Formats: sequence, C-alpha cells, structure tokens
Amino acid sequence: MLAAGAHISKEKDLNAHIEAFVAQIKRRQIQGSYNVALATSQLLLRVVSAARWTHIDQLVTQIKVLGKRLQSAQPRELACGNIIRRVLALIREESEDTNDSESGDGAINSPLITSMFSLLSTNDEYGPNRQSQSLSDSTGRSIKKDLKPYIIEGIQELIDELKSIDESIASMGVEMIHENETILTPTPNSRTVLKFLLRTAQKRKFTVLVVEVFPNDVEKTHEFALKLAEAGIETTVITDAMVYSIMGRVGKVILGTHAVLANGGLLASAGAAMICQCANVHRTPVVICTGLYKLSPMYPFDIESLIEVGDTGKVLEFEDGSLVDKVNVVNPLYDYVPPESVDLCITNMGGYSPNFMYRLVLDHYRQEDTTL
Amino acid sequence: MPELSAKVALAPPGTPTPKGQQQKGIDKNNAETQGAKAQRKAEKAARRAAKVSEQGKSNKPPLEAVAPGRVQSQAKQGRTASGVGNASSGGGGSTNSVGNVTAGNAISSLTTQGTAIHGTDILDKRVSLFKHLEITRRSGTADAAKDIHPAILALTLQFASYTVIGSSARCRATLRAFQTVIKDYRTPAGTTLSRNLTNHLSRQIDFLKTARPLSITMGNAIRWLKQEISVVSIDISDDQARESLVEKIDTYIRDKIEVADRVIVQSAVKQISKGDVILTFSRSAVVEQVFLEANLRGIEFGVVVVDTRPFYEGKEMVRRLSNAGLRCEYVLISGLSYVLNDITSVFLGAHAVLSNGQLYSRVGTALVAMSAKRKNIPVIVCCESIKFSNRVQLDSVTFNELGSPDDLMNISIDSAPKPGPLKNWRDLPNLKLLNILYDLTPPDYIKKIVTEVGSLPPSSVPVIIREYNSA
Amino acid sequence: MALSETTPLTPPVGSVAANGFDIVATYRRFLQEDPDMTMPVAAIESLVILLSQTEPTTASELMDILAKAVAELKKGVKNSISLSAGCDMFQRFVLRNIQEYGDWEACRRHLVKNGGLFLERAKASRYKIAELGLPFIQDDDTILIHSHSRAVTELLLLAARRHIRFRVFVTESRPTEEGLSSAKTLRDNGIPVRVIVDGAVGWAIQKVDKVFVGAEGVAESGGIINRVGTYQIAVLAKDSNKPLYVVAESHKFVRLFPLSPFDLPNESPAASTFTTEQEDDEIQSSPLLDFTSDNLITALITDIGVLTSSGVSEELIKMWYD
Repeated sequence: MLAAGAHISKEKDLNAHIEAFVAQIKRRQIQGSYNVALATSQLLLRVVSAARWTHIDQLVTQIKVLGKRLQSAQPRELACGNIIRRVLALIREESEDTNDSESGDGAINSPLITSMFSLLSTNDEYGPNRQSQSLSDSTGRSIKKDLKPYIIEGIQELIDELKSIDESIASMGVEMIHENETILTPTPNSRTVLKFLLRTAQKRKFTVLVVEVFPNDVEKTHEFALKLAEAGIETTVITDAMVYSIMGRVGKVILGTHAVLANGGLLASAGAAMICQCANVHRTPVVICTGLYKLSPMYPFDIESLIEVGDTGKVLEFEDGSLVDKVNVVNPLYDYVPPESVDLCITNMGGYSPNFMYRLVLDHYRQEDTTL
Repeated sequence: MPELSAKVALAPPGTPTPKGQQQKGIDKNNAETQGAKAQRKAEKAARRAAKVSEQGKSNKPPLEAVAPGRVQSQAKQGRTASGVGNASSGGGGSTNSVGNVTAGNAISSLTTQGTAIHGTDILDKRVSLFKHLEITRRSGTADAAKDIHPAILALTLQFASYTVIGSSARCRATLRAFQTVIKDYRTPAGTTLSRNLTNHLSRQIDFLKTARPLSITMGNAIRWLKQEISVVSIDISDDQARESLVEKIDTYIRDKIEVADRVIVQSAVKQISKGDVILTFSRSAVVEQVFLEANLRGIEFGVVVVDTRPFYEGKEMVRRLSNAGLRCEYVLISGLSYVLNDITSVFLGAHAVLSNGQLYSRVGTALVAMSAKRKNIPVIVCCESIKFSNRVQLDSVTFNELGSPDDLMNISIDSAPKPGPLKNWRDLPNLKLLNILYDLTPPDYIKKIVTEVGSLPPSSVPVIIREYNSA
Repeated sequence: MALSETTPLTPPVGSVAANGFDIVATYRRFLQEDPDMTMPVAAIESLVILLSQTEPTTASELMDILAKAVAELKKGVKNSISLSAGCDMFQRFVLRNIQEYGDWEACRRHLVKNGGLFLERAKASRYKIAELGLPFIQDDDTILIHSHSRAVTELLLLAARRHIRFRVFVTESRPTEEGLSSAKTLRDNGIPVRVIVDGAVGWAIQKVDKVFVGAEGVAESGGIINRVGTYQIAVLAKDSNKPLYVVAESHKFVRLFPLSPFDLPNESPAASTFTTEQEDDEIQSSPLLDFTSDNLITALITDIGVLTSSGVSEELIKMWYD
C-alpha cells in the first residue's frame, strides 16, 4: 500500500514536471534547438526512470504520446521530436536485442537485409512484419526488468553525445579551413559555428566575413563578430546585401542550421537560402555544421509551414504608424536551403554529402516513429 | 600602396599639399568677385542642418584615443593586405583599364581631401580587399577653397549626408547647382569664358567629389556641359553665353531625365497586368513612377519592396506607393526567398549600366536578380540612357564606393541612431566593418532594360552608347 | 487466390525450353491477362511457373535452368530492361537462399507455394508508394505527368480520393500515345486533365508546380529508364527549377549503369540511321525509351521510402555485394 502511494506521488511529481516543460517550450522559454534537445532528453530520462510497464509496447506508446504533446506545443522546434524518436529507436533496439538473444532465431531473421527482397520473402520464414511481431508476442516477463537500466544507459549516452557535439564538430575544422582562407558565415547566431571557428583559429590563420542577417538577433550577430575578433581572427562584418559583391573572394561558406531534413535540405536563419545560392553561382563550397539532434526524419513537403515568422516590429518601427497600418510587413526567421545548395554536412558523426543524410536518418530513427 | 596613402593621410592638419596652396592663391581673386552674401547665408543654414544629422550618424571616437596604436596596426595591415590584394588584382585583363580610371579618381580626391582630419582613423580600419577605394566622405566645409560656390558647398554636404541620394536626383541637383554657379560666374580679366569657366567648374567638381565620387549620370552630364562650354562662341557676350548655357542645362534635364522618365514609364507600364505581384529593391525614382502610373490606370497589382540596411531607401518607396493606395508588402533582404514564391516579375532601377551589360546599382540588387533568375522570374531594369557608361567592369570590388563603416554599428531601424554591441569596434584591431554602396549584377540575370530609346537586352548596351551618346 | 488463377497455365504447344516450357509465351500471357501487372513481376511469376514444372537434382542445375530461362526471356522480349530487373532479383534471391541455408529444395518449394503472393505484394507496394507520396501533392497543385505509369496513376487517384484538389497536364507520349489512357483514367475519377502534345511541355512548364514520372527501370546511379520524352521533360523541369519526382516500385531497381540512352539494350536500331527516302512507318521505328540521369531527379518515391539517388545505389549494393 505504502509503496503504491509513494509511486502515485512520484507520478504526480513527474506529471507536474512534464506540464511545466510543455509550458516552457510553448512560451519559447527554452530557446535554441540545442537547449531543447538537451532538456527533452533529460525529461525522457526522468520519464523512463519513473515508468512502469509490463510490456515494452506500453513504454513505447507512453513516450509517443508524450512526444506528440511536445510536438504540438512547439511544432517548429524539430529537435524535440528528433530526440523522442531517437529514444524510441533505442527502446525498440534494446527490446529486439533481448528477444533475439533469448529466442535464438535471430540468425534466421537477419540475413535477408535488403528491403527489395521483401517482394519475395514471406511471413512464415522471414516476414517483413518481424519487428512488430517480436514486440508484440514474444516479450518474456523477465525482460522489462532487464531492459530499464539499458534504456537509461542509452539515454545517458545520448545526453553525453549532445554535450560533446560542438567539440566533435569543431575538431574537423582543420580539415575544412586552410591557411589564409576567407570564410563567410551567414548564421552568426550559431553556437556550433562559433566554436568551430574559434577552435580552428588555434591552428590556422584565416579571415571571417560575418553576415548580419538583419533584423533578427542582430545583437547576437555583432557579439559573435566581437568574440571572433577578440580571439585574434580577422573579422569583417558585412550587411546581407553585400554578399554577392564579395562572394567571389570567399573560400568557403560555413553555416549552422536550425534543422536538417531527411532529404539533406535544411532550415537555417533567414537569408541563408539566398546566400547559399549565391555561393553556388560562384562555385564556392557550402559547408554546414550540425549536431545529429537537428537531423529530422521529415521530408520538406510544405516548406512554408516550416518557416516561422517573427516580430514585424523589428523590420518597421511601430512609430511609423501610418505605414504599419497600410503595408504588410514580413519578417521570416528561417529559410529552407535545398540539398543541392549544400556541398558538405559536418556532423558529430563525421562529414557527409547531403545526398547521404537519408542513411543517417535510417540509422538513428525507425520508420514507424516518423509520425509520432 | 597602402603605406603610401597612409602617409599622405597622416600629414598633420594645416599643412596643405602644394596643389592646395596653389588653389588658394587663385581663389583670392575669384572670391572677391563673388559677392552673393545673402545667398551664402542661406546655404550656411542648410549646411548646419546637414552637419547636425551627419554628426548624429557617425559617432566618431576622438582622434587622440586612436593615435597611439595607429602606426603599428597600419604596418600590420600593410602586410596582411598584400596577400589578398594580389588575389583580387588577378581579375583578368579587361579590368585593367578600369583600374587606371579608379586610380586617377583616387588621386584627385586624395589631394583635395588630404587635410581632412578624420580620414586617418578610417584608413586604419579599412578592409584590405577594398584598400584601393578611398573614403571621401566629409563632414565640414571649413577647409573649402574660397572660389567654391556656396551652392556647391551646400550640395556637397547634402551628398555627404545622403540627403540627396539616387543617381538621377544627384545629377539633377548638380546641374541645378551648376546653373547657379554659371549665373554667378564672372570671367576674370585676360581670359575668355569658354576657356576659364571649364576650369572654374572643374574646381567645383573636385570639391563635390570630396563628399562622394561622382555618379555615372553626373559624369555624363559634366562631360556634356564641358563640351557645350567649349563651343561657346567668343563673339557673344558673357551675359548671352551664361543665359544660353543655363537654358541648355534646362533642356538637358528635361530631355535626359524628365522626358526620358515619362517615355520609360509609358513603355514599362505595359509590363504590368492585373493580378501581378511585382518585386522591387530599394528605391528607384523611375520604377516608382511606373508603379504609380499603373495604379492610375486602374491596374490591380501588388508590390513587394525589398529593402536593406543602412539607408532603408525602400521605406520611402513603400510610403509613397501605399499612400497612393497600392497594395504593398515590405521585407528586408534576408527575407527575400520567403516572399519570392508569388512574384510575377522584378523591376529594378539602376545607378549605371556598364558597357559590358553589367548593372551597377544599390548593393543587394545582384542578390535579388540572382534569386529571381533562379525562380525564372523575369527581371526588368528601368534606366535612362544617361546612366549608360562606356566603362567595363567584372566584379564589385575593383570599383565601388565606400560608405561610413559606422553606419553598420548603428542597429536602429529608424532615424534615431542606436549603437549596438559594436560601438567600440575601432578598439579591436582585428574587427572591421565593411560598407560598400553598390554591386554589379551580371547581364544574364537581366531579361530586359527599358530605356527612353526603347527596350533592349543587356548585350545591346554598347550599341546605345555608340548610337545615342556620341550624337 | 491469384495462385489459383495462374496455375491452370499449361505449357503451350511447340515450346522451346528443355522441358517443353515456353517462358516467353508465359510471360506474355501474364501481361495480357492482368493489365495491372508490371513487367518485372510478370517475369518473376513466369520463373515461378518454370520452377514448379522442373525437377532439378542439384543446386547448380536449378541455377542453370533459371539462367537459361532468363536469357531466353531477355532475348525474346523487345523491351527487356524492366523485366530484367525482376529476373535479376529473382536469381539473386534464389542464390542467396541457397548460399545461406544450403537447402535449395526448400527454397524452390517456398517460391512455388507462394507464387501468387508476389503479385499481390507488387500491387500492395504501389499502394504503399501512393501513401508515401501523398504528402507531395497539395491543394491547388498543377501537376505534369508523362505517358502512363501505374504507380503515378495510383498516387494521383489516392490523392483525389483524399479530397486533394489538383489539376494534371498529361503528355500525349508519342508514338505509343499512352498518355491518352492515363488521361481517361484520371478523368473517370474526377481529376481535371489537359492533354498536351509532347512538344508543348516547354509551353506548360511555367504553370506546373511539380512533375511526376514513372520508371521502367531505376539504374544504379539513381537515374531512370523510362518512356521516351522523360529526359527532355526533366531538363525543362530543371531549367525552370520545378521538382521532378520519380514514382517507382523497388523491384524496378535494375543493375545497369547507363550513361546515355545508347547504353540501353534493345533500342530500335533504325532510329539512328539516316535516309533520303521517305519511309511510311518511320514514326513507329522511333525509340521508345530514354535515360534520365540522377542529377535531374529531385527524389524517388518508392515502396521502401523516399530516396535520393544514393539511396537507390545503396539498395542495389546491398543486394549484389555482400
């Protein structure tokens, strides 16, 4: 009785915590995809620790429900859903591993990997529904106790991965930037790019052109330039409009992202699409730096719905009252950059061509979780 | 090269270059002959007003604060510059001729500006790639030679503060000022008007250049005016000659700007049809007239005005259009791709169109044209033939105009300045702010150039220059 | 179910195969009887029938019989690219199973027993493609399709059933004029259609939001082999920056790496000869297939997901190199 009571109060605690978290991301109190990703994985750690399940499907459903809730709270913050999907994939993997080793028929299940053969193989021997089957029928009673520590360990590893992401990306800087190169960055609000450049500056001497991406986050942008200059990097601030005139002298364009989509396209701060296109015209390589948590299994079906629109007061002062009433002012926060505009994606798992991002999606997410 | 220019600029104030002295010598004679005191007073008031707004904009640190570290960092820059400088000069043979022209301009502006005090600390912070461009922006007229006409002094300040902005507007204002100069001109004894007036004007022009380099339109107009002066018959009286020149300038302004604009508007307006959404960048007077005319004709269409820092010229455009009842959308250039989806055509103005078909216009134009081309949206340029130049240029670096870097430090979006985190940017030796005013749009982004002599593809620009401008 | 329909197939008289079984005729009959069947599936079903009628004594004999039949099939059918995808996959599947388990007899039994299932699966994979491709179609879209493709039609019909309102340009697709049958199917299902001649694509492309094409075969590069005209549509789409999606089942992935249409087997040779004489049925000897390289394709919508070109080559690599 007592134990059950304690459990109930614990559950209440957790619910209150989730409630608070949902409110926070709804009001954008947790900002930036990194912070959202980290907070989400920490929340999941608590949820899994507190969760009780007799069947692994129950845990999966519970997390899916939570994921749906988080996603509808802030539909444009994809990092949240990405972390949920990573954890779901992790749970599925752990449970399959356990099943395979217990039932011992894993050897028969595994060899015909390629999905093209699904036309020829059949249910009785090597059915395509294997995953859902194993999840639903063969789960032994003993598994749930064994699984929990593994899942928690997995999430812990995910958190560690998140924390070391900038480090692993920054370490690739020397492979990207040569001595005396001129780098242009159109996303000066990116923490990842800042660390990337600062770290590389220890080994290389180069010039950075910082594009302002006015009007959003302009203070951050200018501070970004200050930090680079203070670290001894030759830094020049230019306005968005000047990109074309100077692109011919640029060695590489390096940008951070808001999200990377399954087709290798990405969302980055407004102006990025035009600047990448400009780099393409000048045959200047475009390199993106992104943590894996920004990789989403989604495909950009409806680009406009992904792009958030910001405060128009940043574009036109409200004092200009007569104008504000008559004119439709637009201030998009993001741009969709198509995969053909990008030459290389540097992630914490290494560098990939955008054409290959689908593989990372398949490696880290399960198709059945794409829609939560 | 950087060392050299730095040295000249470093010369302490009050030690004028030999040429400057010479000028002053001549001045004395002329100054006495011009007794338009009342007019001068009026100009002074205008100058003061301009000065106030000027100082508000360019928040300069005191010279003393910069002085100690100056020499050192200049030496450093000299070294770093050479690498990049070499890279940029490899732009190909055809740019060479342009380079020479630029150098010529630079030297002439340097001699007049050598004594300008604030030139020194700006040189210190120039972006190495653009070191060949001079910053000519001035804030006062205290060092003006005595024979500089008050109308020119006032105009110079208006140019420097960007109160008069836009290539047609500057051309017109210059010609109007020249009319005043000519009216007040008296030929000194022992010479003729056709010989001396040209020299007198040249000195006015040199002074104008200390505010900003001449626009292409101004250059074309000046060349025409000098030609007109040189053919003034020595048989007619000075009074007659002045009157005839003033009249000719009137005709020139009317034909080359006003009538030309009307013709362009009548032609370009046919490109607008019901339901169109037209995008334009910054503000062009003639494009604005095209939109207003289409609106007058009752064509229902929308306009998207794309604008950019630091001048926000598009704001004026959108204000005028929306006041006329046009449906307008306003966006900064970072949001360009977001608004581009529904656009049916792009209308652009020009600062100049170069002989190799390149469009030289407000910086950002190239990005707009590029994005439109990528989306298969036709780009139409409205441009008077007075803006055609027989110069050739391939990139925006070899020849351009530098604005004040301090304009970038200001992060305000309205007239009240608001210094952002970069307000002390001059203290950081590695930090630079680049403010160039123009860029070059390659001809393949442009579908059509509408001029008063007809519509043409960019490749036909030299034809117009040969056929019409030589005539 | 499908199995019972197909089992009555008896070897036709005058057959050429070793045991009196005519693989080509069987293949043709399959295609004739079921217009919904694709060529690779017909090839697979024919090979299954062959297996059911032979009694090989060793694994290598089994592979031998298969190889002979496949060669015969490829030779006997004019347009063999698509069917060779099915044959290749079938052979590879049998070989893999023999290598993995050693029990070739069990494998044969399994295949014969499930003959009709493959057809069902192939059809099901088209529904799956339609589901995966559905989000690509949005309200108020103007879509261009070329010729006739079962997968594309399936997708458009599903979109119409889901109450998405869109318009379709259909190319006539000379000389087969298969576009007309696409147009009829779509119109019968309430989708507004405008048929244009192949030459009018350049006129229409400005008004088009996206292009969908099917594929006879998807090559290893991710490029596609399809009804002639696809390449020029793809070039026009690229020029106008319009997305071009290929809708194709994964069993059409074929182990070919053509660089140009002249690398394709079985193209009509007359088409590349020149003459000063007037020919009566010249149009009929015009080529039927062309090759569209992967750089012109935005994405491939397949039953195993929405793939980029490297996704295709990964699938083929996984199948052939282990």
